[in-house]
Amino acid sequence: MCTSDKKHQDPNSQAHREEHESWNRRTFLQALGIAGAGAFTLGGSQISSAMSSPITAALAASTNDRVLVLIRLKGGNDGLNTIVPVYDYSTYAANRASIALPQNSLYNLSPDFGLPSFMSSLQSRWGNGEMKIVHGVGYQGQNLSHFRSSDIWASTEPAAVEETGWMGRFFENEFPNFLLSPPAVPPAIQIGSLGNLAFEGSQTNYAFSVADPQQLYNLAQNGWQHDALNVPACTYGDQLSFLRSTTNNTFQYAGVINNAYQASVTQATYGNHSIAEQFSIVARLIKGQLGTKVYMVTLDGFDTHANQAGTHADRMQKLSESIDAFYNDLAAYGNQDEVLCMTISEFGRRVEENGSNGTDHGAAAPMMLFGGGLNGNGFIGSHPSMTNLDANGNMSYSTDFRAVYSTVMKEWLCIPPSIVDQAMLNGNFNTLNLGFNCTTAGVDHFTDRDFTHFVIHKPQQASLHIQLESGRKLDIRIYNMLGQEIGQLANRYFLPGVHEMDIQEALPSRTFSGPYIYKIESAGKQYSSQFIID
Amino acid sequence: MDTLANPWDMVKVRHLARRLGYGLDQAQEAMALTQVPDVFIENYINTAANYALSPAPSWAFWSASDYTNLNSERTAQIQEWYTQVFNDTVNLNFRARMTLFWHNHFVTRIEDYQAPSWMYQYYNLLQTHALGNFKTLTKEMGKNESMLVFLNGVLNNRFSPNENYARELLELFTLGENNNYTQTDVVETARALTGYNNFTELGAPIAFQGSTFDNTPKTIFGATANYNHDSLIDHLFAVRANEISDFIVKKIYRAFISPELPTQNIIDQLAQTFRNANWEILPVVKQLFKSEHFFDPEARATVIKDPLDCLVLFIKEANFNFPQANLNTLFYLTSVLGQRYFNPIDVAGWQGDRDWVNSSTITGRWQAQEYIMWTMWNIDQELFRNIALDNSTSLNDPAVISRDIVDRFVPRSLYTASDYTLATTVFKGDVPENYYTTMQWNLNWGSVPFQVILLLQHIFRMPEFQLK
Repeated sequence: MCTSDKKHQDPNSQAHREEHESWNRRTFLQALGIAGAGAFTLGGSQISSAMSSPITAALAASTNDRVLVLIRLKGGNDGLNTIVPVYDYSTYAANRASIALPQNSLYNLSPDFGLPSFMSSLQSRWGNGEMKIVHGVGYQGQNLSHFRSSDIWASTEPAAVEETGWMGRFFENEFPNFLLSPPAVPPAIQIGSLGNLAFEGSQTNYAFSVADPQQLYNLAQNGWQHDALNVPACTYGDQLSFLRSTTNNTFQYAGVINNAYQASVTQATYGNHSIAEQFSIVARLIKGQLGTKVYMVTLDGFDTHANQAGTHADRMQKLSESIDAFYNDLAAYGNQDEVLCMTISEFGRRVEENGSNGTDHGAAAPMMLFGGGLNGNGFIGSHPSMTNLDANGNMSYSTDFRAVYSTVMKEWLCIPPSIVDQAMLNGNFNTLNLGFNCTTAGVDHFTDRDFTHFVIHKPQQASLHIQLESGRKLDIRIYNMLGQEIGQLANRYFLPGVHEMDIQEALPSRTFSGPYIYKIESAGKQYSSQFIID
Repeated sequence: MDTLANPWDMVKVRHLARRLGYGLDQAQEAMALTQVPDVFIENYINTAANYALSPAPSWAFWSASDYTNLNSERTAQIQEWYTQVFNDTVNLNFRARMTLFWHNHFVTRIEDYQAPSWMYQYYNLLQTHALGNFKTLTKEMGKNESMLVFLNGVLNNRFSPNENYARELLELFTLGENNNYTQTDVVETARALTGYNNFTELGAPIAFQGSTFDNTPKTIFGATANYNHDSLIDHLFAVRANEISDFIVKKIYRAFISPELPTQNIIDQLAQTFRNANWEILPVVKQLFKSEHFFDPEARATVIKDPLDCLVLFIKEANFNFPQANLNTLFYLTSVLGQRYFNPIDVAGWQGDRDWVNSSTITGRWQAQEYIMWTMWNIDQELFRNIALDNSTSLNDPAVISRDIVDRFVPRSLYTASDYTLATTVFKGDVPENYYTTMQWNLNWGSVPFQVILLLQHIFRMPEFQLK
């Protein structure tokens, strides 16, 4: 309960409004109308050239079975009550009269840092060298809005508004013909966090997303989303059954998810709650060799403005037990070293507790990583000062979250550095020593990027703009929104340089305004992108 | 149907508005509820019958020689008229729906006849008689240039009769397949229909000429006379009145009530009305849409939306003022989804119902609906908050709000109760849970328009959303 008191923000204050600012991004790109999410096929069966996407996927080339699981702690996790800075316990305790964890209740990760008792399930992970902590993660100019800061963590762009996510941009590079020929398995699976940007590309969302674990469980268990048999006995029921089975058939990933799930069993004891269920399903999909490289699970409840102690302990205990069970489960199969877990959260919380026995939105906080692939426990970076605070009373970051992302992409997923830097919006972030590296680095396919292509929209005209560094033959075709070909723009050799083509003029029949797709095929590779004709 | 046991309520208003027209917005629905149902339905239908005809374009009577560049100019004219047709669809509710119904009955395809003026005249004919007299419409249709070209009437002359139109007149337009006619009747009917052969050029009138008319006696349905086009139609409606009324009433029933036909008794009553009214359409539809039978729960949510329904119902019920300039996008979207106005799939028309939906077109429907959604989002995001405010009884309970929004767009309560829970989870979006439990969150939050977007995307994908 957000009762008013001296420390709690006035709900009508400017600061408070900014923390709940409009969640209103995604204006232009998504308006193109190709509903993405990789959750269904683009009616692509009509496409005769629907051979499996000839991507020289950096991931595929990396020939490893490594998986990344992002654990999203929604609401802003209190880092100080997660990894307790016992090196300056007095400052910690003085700021948190009602919520400080007693020093003697902590498990010593090191002489300087303690782990709360409610996270005791993680003690053995730490002891076994399967857990690392990155201190003081954040970014310059911490934004205190949940929505904006979640967007920043997903888009990796703290200043300008960026409508694509770090993983989305990477997958866009990986699957240049995703719209017309999506890969056989979902590149990513996201549970919860609907509307989060992480997997959002400019063309589509690359994650197979479900609102909650039950939805994924139904799909994994049954291979369908809607029960086509349990319908009322009447005309309406007949129609509903028909439409349910038709809808089920559109989820092209239902089959592979179902197969992977059924090919494995649960080999650990999980709790009976959301995050446990999420980890349990993810474990089965990984062990069933689904082939999806990135998962996101979501645990809500970290926005602990009031009466934090019980809530936070409950969430962290559930999380800790679930992570422990998850790795026991993987260990029973033998791939505990192939799966890396990483926590993310939009911000930490204020050093000083508020008047409601809680904490308000903060800044820097630790990230936790788990997995046998870490090759040892340890801390990365330095813990931020609890006394030298910013104007809001928050700790300053010491490690940029993008350095962690970048390291994980390069050294865990073995994505070539140039591609990672591109996915990180041309940032070049320090590689951290997280305990793993790549022995099977993927190949960087420079040929993919020696030409650029995009559509320029003008009133009554859409022009395809192509820039080539070297000459090549291009086969360019236009498709409607169902993926049905409606015309060929060109099929010839193009000289190096800039080419611009009026799409409508080049097509045989007059095209109407609406969403379309173009596909460029060159030297056995295909690139597709959507555009609108006004 | 306004009894204590079966009261006039929002469910019935929406059922009526979706079946007869393309839905009503909140204010119109509220108005409907204040009226006695019989009076509301009577007025609704009469209003539709009395709408003015769409204004004729400048090229309404152009023929080939009026063009400088026929190919490019006609493409622009056809596009122009598509915009008019979609404008009519958005604004003329039951009149527009009946115009489309007769288009899909008396099918012609512009791909075959090619002339914008003929397209306009054909549409004008359908619109004129959409709620008028079926026999008159049939009589005019046989002489309409689009039809004369499409079903080869223009080639049907006394020297070499062409049976195409005669056959479809009996099989598809009046009696129904194998319904009390013979091949001899077809051959003789074709002879009666001869003479409309005076073709001069594309787009020009095709006049009757005595020189190619078969001016001799024909024996049709056992009677012999020197029938011509109009007297043949009179004869047909006189001696096959039972067959015609039964066939047309069943077609109306399937299109407007349910793909499952009712007991013959109900069809018979309506057919009797049709005959008694001397083929006036209004008495039939008034009797049907005022009946208990139409409002029976068994009839609800039994019809699969056609592509136009998918888009226009959503636009109207979301209270969107869809920009005029984008109307021809609706043509593109519905065409891709299988319903290309003025180009039904074949002479028998779109079969509708389950033919509309397969795993390709259903994803296409989601995309088309999202395209409309994002188009409106780009115009004004607050429209999406308004959907929540207009339809929900709660300001701060996400479960109630998401249920109210779902129920606004689906034709009956979701059969699987947990689907409402899932919808609520979707609607909550990325807002941390505590803002709901502490009831700080409400519909005035900045996040609400995007939350409604998430929920709408989810609703589009509900199997129930394809039904009306």
